[in-house]
Amino acid sequence: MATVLYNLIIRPLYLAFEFIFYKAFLLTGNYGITIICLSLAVNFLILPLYNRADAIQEEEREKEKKLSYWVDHIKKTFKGDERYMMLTTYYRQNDYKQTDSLKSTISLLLQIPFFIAAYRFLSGLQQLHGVSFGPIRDLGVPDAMLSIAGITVNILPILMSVINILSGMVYGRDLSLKNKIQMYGIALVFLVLLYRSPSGLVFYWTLNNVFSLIKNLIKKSKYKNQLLSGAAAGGSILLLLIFFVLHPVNTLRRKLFIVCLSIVLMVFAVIKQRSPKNSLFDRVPDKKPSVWLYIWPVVFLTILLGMVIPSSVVSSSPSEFIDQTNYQNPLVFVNFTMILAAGFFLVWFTVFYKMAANRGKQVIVCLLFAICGISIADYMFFGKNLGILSSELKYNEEPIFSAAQQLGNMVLVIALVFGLFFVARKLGRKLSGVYIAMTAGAVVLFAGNVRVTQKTLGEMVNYLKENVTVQAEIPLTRTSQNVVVLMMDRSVNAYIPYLFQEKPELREQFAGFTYYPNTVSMGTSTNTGSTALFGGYEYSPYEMNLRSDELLKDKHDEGLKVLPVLFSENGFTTSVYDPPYAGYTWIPDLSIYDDYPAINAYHTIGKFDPEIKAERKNLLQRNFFYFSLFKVTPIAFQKMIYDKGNYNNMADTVRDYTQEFIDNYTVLTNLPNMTQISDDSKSTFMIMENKTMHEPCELQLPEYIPVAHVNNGTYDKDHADRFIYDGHEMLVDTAWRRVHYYAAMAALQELGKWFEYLREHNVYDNTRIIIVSDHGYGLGQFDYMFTEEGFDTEWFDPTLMVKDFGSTEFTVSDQFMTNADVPVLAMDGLIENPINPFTGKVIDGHEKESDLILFHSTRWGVNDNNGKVFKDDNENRWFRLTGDRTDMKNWVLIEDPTKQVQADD
Amino acid sequence: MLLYIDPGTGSMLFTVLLGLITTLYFFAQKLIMKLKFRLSAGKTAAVTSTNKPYVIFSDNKSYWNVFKPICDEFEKRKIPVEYWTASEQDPALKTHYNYVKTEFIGEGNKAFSRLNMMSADIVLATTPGLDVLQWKRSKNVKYYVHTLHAAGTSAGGYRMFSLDYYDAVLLTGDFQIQEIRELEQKRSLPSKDIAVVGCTYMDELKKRHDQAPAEEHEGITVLLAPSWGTSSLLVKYGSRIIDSLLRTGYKIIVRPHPQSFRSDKAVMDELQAKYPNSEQLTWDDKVSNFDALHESDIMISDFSSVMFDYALVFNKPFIYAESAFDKAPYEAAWLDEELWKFRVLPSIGISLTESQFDNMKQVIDSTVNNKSLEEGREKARKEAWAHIGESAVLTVDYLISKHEELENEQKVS
Repeated sequence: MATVLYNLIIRPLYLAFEFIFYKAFLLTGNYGITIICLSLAVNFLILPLYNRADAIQEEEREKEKKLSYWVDHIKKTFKGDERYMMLTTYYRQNDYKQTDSLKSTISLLLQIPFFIAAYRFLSGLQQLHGVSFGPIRDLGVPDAMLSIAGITVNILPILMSVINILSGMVYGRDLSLKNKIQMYGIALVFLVLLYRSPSGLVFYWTLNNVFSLIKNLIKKSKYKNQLLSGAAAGGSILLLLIFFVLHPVNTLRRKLFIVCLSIVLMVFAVIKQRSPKNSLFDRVPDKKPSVWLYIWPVVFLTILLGMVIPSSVVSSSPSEFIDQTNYQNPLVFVNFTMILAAGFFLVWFTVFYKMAANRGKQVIVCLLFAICGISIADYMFFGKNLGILSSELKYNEEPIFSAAQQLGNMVLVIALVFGLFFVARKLGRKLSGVYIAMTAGAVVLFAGNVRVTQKTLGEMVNYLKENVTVQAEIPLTRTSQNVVVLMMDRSVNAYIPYLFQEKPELREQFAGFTYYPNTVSMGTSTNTGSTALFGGYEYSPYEMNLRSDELLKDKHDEGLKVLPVLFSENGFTTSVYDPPYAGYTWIPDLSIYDDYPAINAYHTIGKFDPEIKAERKNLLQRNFFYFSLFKVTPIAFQKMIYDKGNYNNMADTVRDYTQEFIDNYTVLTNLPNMTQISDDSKSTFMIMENKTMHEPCELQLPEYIPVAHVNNGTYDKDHADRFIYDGHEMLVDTAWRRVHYYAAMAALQELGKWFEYLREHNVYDNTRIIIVSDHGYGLGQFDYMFTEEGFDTEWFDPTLMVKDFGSTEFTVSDQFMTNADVPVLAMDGLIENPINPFTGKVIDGHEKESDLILFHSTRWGVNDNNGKVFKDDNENRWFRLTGDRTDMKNWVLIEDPTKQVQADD
Repeated sequence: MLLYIDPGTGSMLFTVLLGLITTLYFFAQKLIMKLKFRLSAGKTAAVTSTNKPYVIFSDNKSYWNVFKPICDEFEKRKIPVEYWTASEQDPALKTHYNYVKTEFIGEGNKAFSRLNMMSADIVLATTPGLDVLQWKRSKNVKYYVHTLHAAGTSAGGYRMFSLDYYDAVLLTGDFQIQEIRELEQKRSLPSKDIAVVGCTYMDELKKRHDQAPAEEHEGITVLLAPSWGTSSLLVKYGSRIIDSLLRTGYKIIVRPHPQSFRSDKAVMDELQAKYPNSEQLTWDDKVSNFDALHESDIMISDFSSVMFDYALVFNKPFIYAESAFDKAPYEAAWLDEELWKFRVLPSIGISLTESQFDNMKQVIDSTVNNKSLEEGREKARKEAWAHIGESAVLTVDYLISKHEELENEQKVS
């Protein structure tokens, strides 16, 4: 409850403070000046609020004064119930409510959340530590400027209080003694409480008091307009002087911002000089708009930003937002964002609205309509193809908007601002209908997202909840034989020589392995490529499509069971780890092995990094709202909001690694910890999926390890030769291409370490290890892999490395292989004449002797590609491969060979 | 994460809290009042939906003299009316009518709870403080009419806000209009409907006085009719005043306020023992004061309403003891001018001071023979008592025409 209140009331202010501070620092590069900017910005932002609060307070005081004669008279004259009844009657006759006495505390009440937010923000700001500003030695600690006889005195808090009292003297000239005491009392309280606070915070509060002093001086002055005008003109010139002469800003955007700000101030100065009243504003009718015209848009914005947008992100891949170490429905992020959005729109917008005079309310109502319109337009029609969004709400590449998009958006926004503003003025109360339609639409969208999320999670939810605490083990025996199959999702086979070239020690660690560069995968994504890896040729996309009366899910699950069931039935201790898409869900549904109690099935991915998960969750909660804001903002400001995925966060939360990478990578680093070596006479079999290579990110070189802040300098450039092997250059010109290589290196290094561990514990020689991937990836890095039609066969380039029992040398074999050979390779010599327990067919790899039919599809999602056959669309390609894969002539593009069968059905 | 409140905010919160506490205190008070009301009100009757055109409410049996003429008039005109009383001893309950339905609705808060939920077109009452004290306006009553229960008093003599939430006030004399308007204006209240109808109970009193045989006796009969309480004549002066009266040789009737026998019992017992009934002095404790007023030639009192009855109805002079009047709790506190009754007092009565006790006879004689007092009474009567003998008729006329008006309004809307 307290958290909800905090997020509702304080958090929005905190974020606003942070945003101003963050941007101001970018502009000034000086924390002291940034604090000044923050104070100015916040004070100007809440100036109308305070002006109104002061006016209300004044009204209230006047009223109390007016009523005081008879109130005193009644209190003196009557007793008990009669006194109460007389007082109520008197108040009633004067339109005075007892709660009105609270009004006089309104400005004080308003200060509280602002103070809490400022306090929390500035007192916890790491960046201020050790930073000096003028006479202040360290903004992060009390100033201790004066030292008398060994006693240090903090000057800043005292200065702050003096200014506070001065300001109070100006403001309180006409106040009653009671009010004066209250005012000075508060000044004293602030002195006591802020005395030991970091000087950055005290400095901020001092500036606020200076602002208040100047405000009060101007207010009480006869030359109010002249003073305001002068101050504005001075400010305008000062801005230009500071940011163009003394402390020049560098980017065009910033220069523009300063110039605009300066112009606005100058215009204000001129207006104030010429006419005391703003004539444009006077044209706005001085009557209160219907309250619904305010309520509807803020409710709509809360739903759009707080519910629709975050839920659409979550629903696009709900399992990515599940914390497997501490299960929670991923919609919790929506809850949080909703509260934050409610804080912004329902709480703070409302405070500003409530405090506004009638004309102000009219303007706000019209502006809100325009904001709603722009938000819808931006969200629905712009920023659609910005790349792949990670579950950390970062795009895999920095979003780029074309000039045409930017211009189009700007024109639209300007048109909407004026158009909708005047539509709002014209329609008046009838707008409610428009709002109801908009809100209803938003609610429907939201409900749809929630439904999709719940459906996708389905029955998995309970299962996940139960499995949170189960920790995976890898049982290996020293006395018998072990078979280990490691499916490294998306591992590109062609990288291997480059990787081994860069890190020769890998050759030592991988001693005994045979590398098969001439390997092809049956498919090009996990849904089309992994089933055959687990079950053999019978589960190639082609064969699966031929069984067109069965669900893909059932066929896939069957494939996943072939090897474990065979090994288990042949007396092997059998373990499966993260069988890909088991049950056709993102987080594998291990219950597909429920019929085989001897098979141990585990989740490993995402189970070894609880701290990072907790950190990420906190960050995500905050960033989801920012993401919503980013989506509804005009394109011109989107970069400002997105902030390279940092979303203007002052806290050091930039992590160059991704959650997904860590989830998988930590499994590999924990392989030795999971390994349980015994002298059991029972042989073992394990098959594990790991997606370290599937979730690449920037890594620190040359170690290839994940760090928060990667700094590789010119390492890649300086070591460009490592991307040339045997005369072939591997393209690493984009980050996306580069990081795939990084991830592969990180994974191989960790595997290498595990193999060393196995050697140390004497379980290496008696262990057969198959490193294989379900598919390659079309990164277009190798020119020799393109077919004549321009198809990149890197898609079909799965890693395959096999180490047999007792093998000690690292060798390379040009033998043509496929990743559907894995079952044969795994069972070779261990299980005689294996027969598929589900189809009764012999598993001997004979299919490779004739032409192979391969399938490329970009529809990798099992959420939608889950019918009976793999969906056919324009991007699909079927190939007939005659002979080995290295000769591009062997790749023949063919029509869907399964169409006829499907038609026959 | 707990809601973080730093100490600085704490102090500000404190200030705000004070405001909140004041408000809460006020609400708590309201709640307690409501609770008290609920508890003492007992089971509240459900809102009666039957439409009653007229309901008269009397909070005390002593106002029967105000309402009886009105009930009689309704009866005479064969117009049904309901008479609700909060007093079980109300004589109305024993009076037989065909068109007036009388009902005892319980005492105190029980009565108010019934009233607060009643439904009727017009309610006539003489109870002050509608919608200020426990008696709230019912949503189902269209029109509340107040009738004054004394000619000498006016709006200004009531406690604060007494008539503010009535829709109409029936007055006994023109002088009262100004006071009501002044209060309305000072409080920015909508102006009430005002009708000067006279004074029903004084009409009745006058009728009885006119019908009674003329009182013939020798010498002067003095009526000592004080109020009660510490500042009343008998308690304050006791035997001193009785002795001074006895010295005049005139016949003395002592009629203490009925409340004195309860509140000032010790003093009364002592005085009655010291001055038993005799040729010259009699103690009068009859229920009705009519005989005493009728028999006497002059009255000495400190009780305003009876003095006005005596002067205006019986047309006899009186001597009044000046008692300090604290107008603070009264509407008088709001009015610019002194109350009419105080303004008019010197012209219809003679003020008595303690120093005059020694030559009481002289004071009484000069008062009885004072011609200017007679003129004063005439003038006061004109100002305060309009439409003598017609008030019941005018009151009922007013109610009927108002009822028609309300019905027409309803038809229009």
